[in-house]
Amino acid sequence: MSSISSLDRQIQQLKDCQPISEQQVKELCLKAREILVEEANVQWIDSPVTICGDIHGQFWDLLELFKVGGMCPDTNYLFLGDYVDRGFYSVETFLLLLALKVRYPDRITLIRGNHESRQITQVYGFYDECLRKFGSASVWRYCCEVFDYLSLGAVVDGKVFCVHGGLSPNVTSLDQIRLIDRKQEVPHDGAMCDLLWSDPDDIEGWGLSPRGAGYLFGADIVKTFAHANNLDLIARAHQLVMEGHKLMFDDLIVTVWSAPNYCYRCGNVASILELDENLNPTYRSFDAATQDTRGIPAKSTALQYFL
Amino acid sequence: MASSSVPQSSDAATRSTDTDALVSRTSAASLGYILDPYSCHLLPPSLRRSTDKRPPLINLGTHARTWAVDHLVRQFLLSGEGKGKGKQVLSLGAGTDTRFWRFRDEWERQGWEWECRKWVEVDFEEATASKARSISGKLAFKSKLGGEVKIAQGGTALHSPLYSLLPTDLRSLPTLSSSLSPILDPSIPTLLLAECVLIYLPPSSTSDLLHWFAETFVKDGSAAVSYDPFGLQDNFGQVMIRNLATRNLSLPAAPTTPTLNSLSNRLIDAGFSSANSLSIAQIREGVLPKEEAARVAKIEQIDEVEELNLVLQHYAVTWGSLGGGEGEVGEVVGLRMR
Repeated sequence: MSSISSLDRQIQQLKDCQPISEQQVKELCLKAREILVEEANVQWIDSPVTICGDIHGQFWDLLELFKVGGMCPDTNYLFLGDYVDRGFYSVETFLLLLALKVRYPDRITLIRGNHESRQITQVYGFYDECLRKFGSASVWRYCCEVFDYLSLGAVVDGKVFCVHGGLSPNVTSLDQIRLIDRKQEVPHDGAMCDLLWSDPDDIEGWGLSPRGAGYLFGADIVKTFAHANNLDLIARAHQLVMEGHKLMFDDLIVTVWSAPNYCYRCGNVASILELDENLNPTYRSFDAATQDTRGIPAKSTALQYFL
Repeated sequence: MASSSVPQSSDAATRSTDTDALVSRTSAASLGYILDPYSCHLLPPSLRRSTDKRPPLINLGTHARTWAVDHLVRQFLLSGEGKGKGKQVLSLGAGTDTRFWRFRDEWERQGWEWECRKWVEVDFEEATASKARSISGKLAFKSKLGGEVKIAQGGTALHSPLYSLLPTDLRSLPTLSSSLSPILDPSIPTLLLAECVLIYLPPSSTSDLLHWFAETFVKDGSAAVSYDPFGLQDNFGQVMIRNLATRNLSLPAAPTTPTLNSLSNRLIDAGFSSANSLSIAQIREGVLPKEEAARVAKIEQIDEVEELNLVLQHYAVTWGSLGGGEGEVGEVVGLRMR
């Protein structure tokens, strides 16, 4: 009982964009791992559910998302990864989502994105942010240990496959994903890497990815995979979409992007995908929060241009 | 260097953009994207120990832009036009640009003859004063200038046989042209270089500058190269204008350069016989040699290609030739799609 009220206090604190203490992070991460270790590589979830794409530390925009989609636990959520890096509040963003996961394990599902990785977070900001906010790398380490336990995908009512990046030439069935030993740093190649890094593209078959990891895959690959696994839709994130979401290949795959005005620079809208109990889709779009512009040092945004 | 925490004039804000570009070049050089042993020596003391690296997107953009502008300037310097007479370069708003020294080294490595009689850089006097100090105080810079180095105009100008640095406000054409007339010979093929400069100028000043250049210098062999943001009327551009305004930076030329064509037409309208533009995204995609693209792709992992392209679609390199025939055949310099 006391642990729930303490957790509720932490959630309230995080909703105000105030980080919790290092000791609290350590305990939260331990509890999260106990829950996540029980989840499958492809976690089964029931409709209705609201599917969200990349957040990237844009904390105030995450609060906008909750305003549009409803708060957890009133709304059932599935987040497709990339909680951290790029934005200024990766710590608060990831810890809030993690605290909600620990508080309401059946109402929110968090899967892994390509940024939930030791290597990538050291290049794109989360590591530096942890050092800046806590004075040591401990919080970053606790979080990275949680990353290793996140599921690689989810399937809604057995009909909608959800993954951060996309498909892999090493994976023809969902059962093959279940065989992966996921509790590790994201590898540089292989099925686990591809699921987190690949992108659909207007090509035939498989192609090389300009990102240097994962693959590009065409409509034929998506159709074969959907048919073989009896799927209606593949929902993924991972790519900036100016309009917030983008359907491809006869509406068989959709990209959902939930970071409005990405990096405080791109000028895009964000969206979330609500699937009702009959899996009917509704896309809701939203713009960036105004507070966020106030929370950003002017210098750091100006530095992101060629002047 | 102007600090962003203190309110500053619009001119000071514009000058401070050079420090951003300098830090970006230093970052790209330290990671091996570009070869530039000079930029780090021009960093202000407060930034010298900074270990801040630019994000991969900025490093890749800095690389592509540097590669493209280098390529065009190199073409100009090596072109057959004006054989025996030599060449001249006039670099507007040059700031801490190090191309003169990087090219001097490259010419030495390649065993090419340095035929550029004069390389002139102009900028605000605050910029030229600190650059003049750095150049005259460092042997690595000083030794490439071809002889005696003289500081003038109260420390804001520097003259040497091969290189001159002049303080001027680009919005005052009469001052600019009179200070250049004893230094540049209008009968020698001349390159006008403006890297991320014209966007900060009132469009009428740019038009006056380009007309003056076209009317002053010999048609055969003279050319212009510029690097500019463009297409800022879309969402990305509007956010950019808003973000830069928080730094008191304004972009007066933005409304006049909505497209690639508007950039090249600016040269044609001023009297150039041919002109073309490519976005940095197009240059990376189709001009940059495959081996070079593959080399830089290995330096850092790119996490987001859509964003990279979105940003690089809003910057362009433009080149034009003053005379010498019709269309591409007559071009002194130019980028070609692979």
